[in-house]
Amino acid sequence: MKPVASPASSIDKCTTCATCVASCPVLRGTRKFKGPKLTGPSSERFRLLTKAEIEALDYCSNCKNCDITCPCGVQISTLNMLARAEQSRHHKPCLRDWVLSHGSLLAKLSRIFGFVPRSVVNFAMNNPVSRAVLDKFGVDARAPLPVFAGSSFVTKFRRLPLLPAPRKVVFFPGCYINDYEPQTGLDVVALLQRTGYEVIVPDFQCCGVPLVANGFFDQAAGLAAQNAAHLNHWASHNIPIVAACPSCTLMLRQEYADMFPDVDVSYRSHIHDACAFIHEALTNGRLHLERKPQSETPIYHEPCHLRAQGGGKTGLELLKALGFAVQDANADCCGISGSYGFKKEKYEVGRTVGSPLFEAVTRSQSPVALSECGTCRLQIAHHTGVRSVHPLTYVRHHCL
Amino acid sequence: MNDADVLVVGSGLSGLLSAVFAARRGHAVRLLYRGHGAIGIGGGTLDVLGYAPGVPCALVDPLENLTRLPADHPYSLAGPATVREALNAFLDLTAQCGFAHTAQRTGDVFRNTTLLTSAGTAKPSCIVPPTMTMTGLQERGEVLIIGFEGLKDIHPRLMVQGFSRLKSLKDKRLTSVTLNCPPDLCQLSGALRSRDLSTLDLARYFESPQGYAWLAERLRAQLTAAPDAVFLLPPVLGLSPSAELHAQLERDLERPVHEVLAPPPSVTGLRLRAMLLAELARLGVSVVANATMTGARINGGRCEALTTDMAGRTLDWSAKQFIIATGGIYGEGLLVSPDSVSDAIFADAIALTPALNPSMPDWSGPQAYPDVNGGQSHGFARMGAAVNADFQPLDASGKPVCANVRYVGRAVGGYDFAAEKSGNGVALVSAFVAASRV
Repeated sequence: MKPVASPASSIDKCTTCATCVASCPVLRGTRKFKGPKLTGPSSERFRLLTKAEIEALDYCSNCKNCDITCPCGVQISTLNMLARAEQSRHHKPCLRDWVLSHGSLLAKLSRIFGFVPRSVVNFAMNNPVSRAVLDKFGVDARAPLPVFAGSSFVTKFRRLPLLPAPRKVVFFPGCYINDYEPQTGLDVVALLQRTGYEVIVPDFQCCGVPLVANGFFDQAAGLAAQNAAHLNHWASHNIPIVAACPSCTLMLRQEYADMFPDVDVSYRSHIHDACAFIHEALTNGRLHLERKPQSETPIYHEPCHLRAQGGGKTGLELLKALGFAVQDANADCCGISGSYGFKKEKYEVGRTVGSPLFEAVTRSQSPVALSECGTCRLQIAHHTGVRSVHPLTYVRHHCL
Repeated sequence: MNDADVLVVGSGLSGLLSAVFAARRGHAVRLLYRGHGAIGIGGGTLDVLGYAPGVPCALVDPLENLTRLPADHPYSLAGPATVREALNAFLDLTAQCGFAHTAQRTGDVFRNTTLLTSAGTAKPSCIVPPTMTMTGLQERGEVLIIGFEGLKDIHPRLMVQGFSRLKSLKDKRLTSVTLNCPPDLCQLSGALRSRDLSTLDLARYFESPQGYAWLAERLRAQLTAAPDAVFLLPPVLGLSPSAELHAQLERDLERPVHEVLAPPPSVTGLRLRAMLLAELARLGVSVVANATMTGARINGGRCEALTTDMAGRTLDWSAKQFIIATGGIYGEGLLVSPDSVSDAIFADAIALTPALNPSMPDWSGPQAYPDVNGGQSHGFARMGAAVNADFQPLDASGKPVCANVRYVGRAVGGYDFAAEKSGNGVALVSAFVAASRV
């Protein structure tokens, strides 16, 4: 299992065995997608010669299951994203894709115009009339658009009393927690503080996952450089960097290096998954948690971007280590893939892809679903009506 | 944090079986993998031994021919009694998982089943899934070979041509029918054309009620023209590890129905994989995907942990026992370059068999390319870890490298799965032995 030098050089290892085709969730949802093998390595051979792009590239959701499945280490989804980047240099992505990939910018703008209450902004986005307009414009009227939180995680964090401690940890909240679910971030902070850390929230930008997925590659490269500069500073002081969103950790750890060779990613061995970090503290005896009695058995869903990182089901392992009864849904991809499932032409694809998971959640009769990824939680809650929270939120509520 | 009784690496057939067998013995098992191995490429059949040195034709009774194999062959190391025990364990496992596979047996003697392929050829296999038993083929005078328009990899007329040359089918009336593509799968919509049809698409579709209804109706329409026929279908009868769809179709048609082996993506291999994954989930085995192995920590003749790389950080995966199912050259369990070959985890600590140096002249000389027509197989095709009867890998002096490490499946050397048709059989037997020793 030798590491591959670069995504492009990995195409030579493709034997067209079609193992990726068997595991691609999108193929279950639509006949329009040609599949990872054809869109990735097979087309890549032609891309080396011409600029012609196959129409179905757009249907890759960048869930990374093809890369996970490949017996030979071909970086299929990364090839697709690099091809999409090249394509978007010639054909500008549509306004809808701009809006869906710039949520953090929109959140920032709405904060600048702070005199407009957040409830008004959310109403403006989520009332039936604007949803009908958004639908025309390509955002499916049924899609579960997240609502901006009253104040961001960073604002709430700044209001917390500062708890100095000899050991420090950097918490990279990412956009989803910062703009939509600040409470999840506060739960992570509370557990890190209980572990004996002083929590630092750095200056951060969106990690760039939605930008890459929608073809805004050069902008993502810019954000990557800014994030890397901040993270290199903390890493050079040997301070661990924790993130609770699997797409953020995947991007910071793996994808910057694969996609933006000019960005200095020296910090990357310092990145930790929040659940794994807390789990390690428990194992090392730095953290003691007492579990309160559980009234229900939650169901757990492993996000694809977590599976892609080779660290296992970190949230599930933590809950098991704490002695919680928890059921593993074992049901593949939820179908939302960040902004993918919001799009009008892909909402149904996402619903079909996620239906085994939704059935598992419904069948479990569990009142709460746990998953590390924000948009996975959104998708589960939308299609099943079951409350969905981050595993660390669950741990905080049942242990602190 | 990563403690387990048994750590299995690899999610091909040998890795999944090792994890299932070990977990069924009550061990806490963790499975690490990167890539799905060859299980979705092969046909999901358990070929034990189709050909042996010195026998010019396909074998009828594989276990009676084990004595023909060289002493360092995995079957020779395990011994014939263990091979038989492993086959029975697999039959029991599939039955308990609700996806009972079968083998032809006369008393205690296992007999090979001749499977048919979409290339118009025959292949000897030992344990076959319920959709490939080939029952009724001998008795009935007619074979109706079904294809689908747009299914580019499978051509019924090619099969008719090929099968007409087979001794077993020589006197049968062979006919082919190509059904239209199911309308639900072929509708063009928007600017995007549909992708090519695959057996995977059809298998998924026929699992739906409307899909099954479409298929059953089309096949029923063939009954009057072929009153005494056995139906041969591409592997399209659902993706679930269940014989239900197949049984229902046989009831509806009142005829035997069998699937042929077809090119990947292998629906039949994926069914077996799904069965094993469901069993792993039931047994509470923790599965870690996309883990790239980098090495092992060895202390005093025991392996303490295997290491993986996570973006520049080394993760330790400790356990009491380790089963390595990382595959051969294809699965990158063996790392090969123009002038070296070594094990992906234990590197040069493990001796390979045959001990070929992949540089000139060994790599191109008679040692690597012996007289194949004389029944010998290529050296590189047999290359893998040298192991003892417990499937512990050996160092150059023939001693076990670590007492608590075992190698299984294609990572083991000394057999040529392609020439012998023994791949899944060795995967099973080695997994069975390794799991019973931990």
